[in-house]
Amino acid sequence: MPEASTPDFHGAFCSALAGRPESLGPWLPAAGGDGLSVYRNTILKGAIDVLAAAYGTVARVVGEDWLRAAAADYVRERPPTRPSMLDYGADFPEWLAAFPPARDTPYLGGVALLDRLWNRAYFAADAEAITASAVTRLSPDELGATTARLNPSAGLAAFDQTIASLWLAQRREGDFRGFELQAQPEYALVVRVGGDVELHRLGPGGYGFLRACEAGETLLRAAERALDAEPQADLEALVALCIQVGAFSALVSASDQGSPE
Amino acid sequence: MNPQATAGLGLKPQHYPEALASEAAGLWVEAHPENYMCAGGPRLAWLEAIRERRPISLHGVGLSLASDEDPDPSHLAALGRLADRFQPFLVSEHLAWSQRGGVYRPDLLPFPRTRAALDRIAANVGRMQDALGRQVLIENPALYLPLEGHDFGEVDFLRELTRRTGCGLLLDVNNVYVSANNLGFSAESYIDSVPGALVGEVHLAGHAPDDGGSSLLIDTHGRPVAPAVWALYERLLRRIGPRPTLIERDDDIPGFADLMSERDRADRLMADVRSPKGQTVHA
Repeated sequence: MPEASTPDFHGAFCSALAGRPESLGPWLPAAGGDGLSVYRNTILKGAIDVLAAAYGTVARVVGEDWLRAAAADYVRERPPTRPSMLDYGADFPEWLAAFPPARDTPYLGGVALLDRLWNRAYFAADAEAITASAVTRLSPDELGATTARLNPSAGLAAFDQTIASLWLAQRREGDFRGFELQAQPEYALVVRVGGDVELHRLGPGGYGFLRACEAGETLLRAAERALDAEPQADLEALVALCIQVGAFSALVSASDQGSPE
Repeated sequence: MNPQATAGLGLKPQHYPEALASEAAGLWVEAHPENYMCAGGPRLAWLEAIRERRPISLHGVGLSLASDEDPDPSHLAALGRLADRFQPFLVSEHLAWSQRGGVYRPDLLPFPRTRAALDRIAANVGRMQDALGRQVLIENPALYLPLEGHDFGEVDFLRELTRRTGCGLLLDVNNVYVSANNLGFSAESYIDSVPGALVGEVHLAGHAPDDGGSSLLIDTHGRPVAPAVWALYERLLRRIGPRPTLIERDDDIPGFADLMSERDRADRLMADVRSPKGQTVHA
């Protein structure tokens, strides 16, 4: 009988889970391998269930079985590291985009990215949205000295195909059959206001504007970025839309920058 | 008698509105804190709303008290923040491990119940209770492997753990049934040997045969509570009296009403042992 067995046992058990049941010899001399499979299956299922729930739109596009098989590969490569798995699989979209069996469906990584942004928004910190009047009362000088902080739930994505529309069709109608991807750029903002996570399609100007805000540029510089991306953009309408959908949680004047919250 | 010696339900997101609206007397809910370790959003808001109307129990699955590594301080701190915010009437964890070498294995893994293991787990339970500033309950696991090298039987190990740390026990009757089947001991003897004064909560759940073809039973939490487990529960109640009792369901989750009918059954069984049938209670 092994003495002071606890320290060695855990390493041996991990080896056994990884396919070397003989590691458990001192503790499991008799046949008992069925039990090891139960632990292996439960561990794998637990991680796959998290991914299947987090990437529900991907599952509806490719089928639950396909997603679970792909997720099993992902779990083996990148197992969970922490007991709270709300964030597990954050890099699954990039992994899926490079997953050889997904080569025929190159839009899957984009669909997964939108699921990821949705999930991230769902668990992000709560924040109030700013009102339109907070921006319209700023003087031109102030616009050059004010940054707009994105809502903590906000996430941005740009695609060279109509993947945001595909994702919305699947989520809203529960069906994407008949939907044809167009080779046409799309830009998306995913943000949560109160309890509701929404995806908003943006023009290139709106996307450039929000990316600049996200990078900490002033509203004036962000407006220039918007016009760089979309010279004919209606700036007033674009800013109004961003505010209306709750993209911003605070305005910060340059003089406040760097001071702690 | 414990003022919350009524039956509760494991809280599932799909049942939030019904759990909040339910008028059932004595209903309480149990949440896995790992599912609420987020910065904000609807889950925390729902839990907060339900907490205003119902007692809440926090049942941890990830602290890995039986690991050969220390509990993750950031996880323990996150658990502490949830306990401060939601003021649970019970906090529990498992006699098991899941975290090692930077990998989390979402399961409740076994270990040989040695004296060294007892020392380490007692220290970890002590850390948990110190961090939370309260007593916690420790749950007996479902077991699948006939390990050798134990210095203690499970009940003796748990009794010793409570003696050293002041923790209480969460007795999972389904786990007793499953382990008894898988390891070949008497579930009745186990149930009869648990010191009643240490039991602060009882869990009831469903199990299933191994679809891998072995003779093992699996603690799936994916079915209604089995008749044999109800029978063990009644046997326990007759001996130790009512305890806060939870219906756990984590897979293949049915409608709220279905779970409530199991929950109501546990409540009725507790009422029966309070005023046994055949005895007339004179006011």
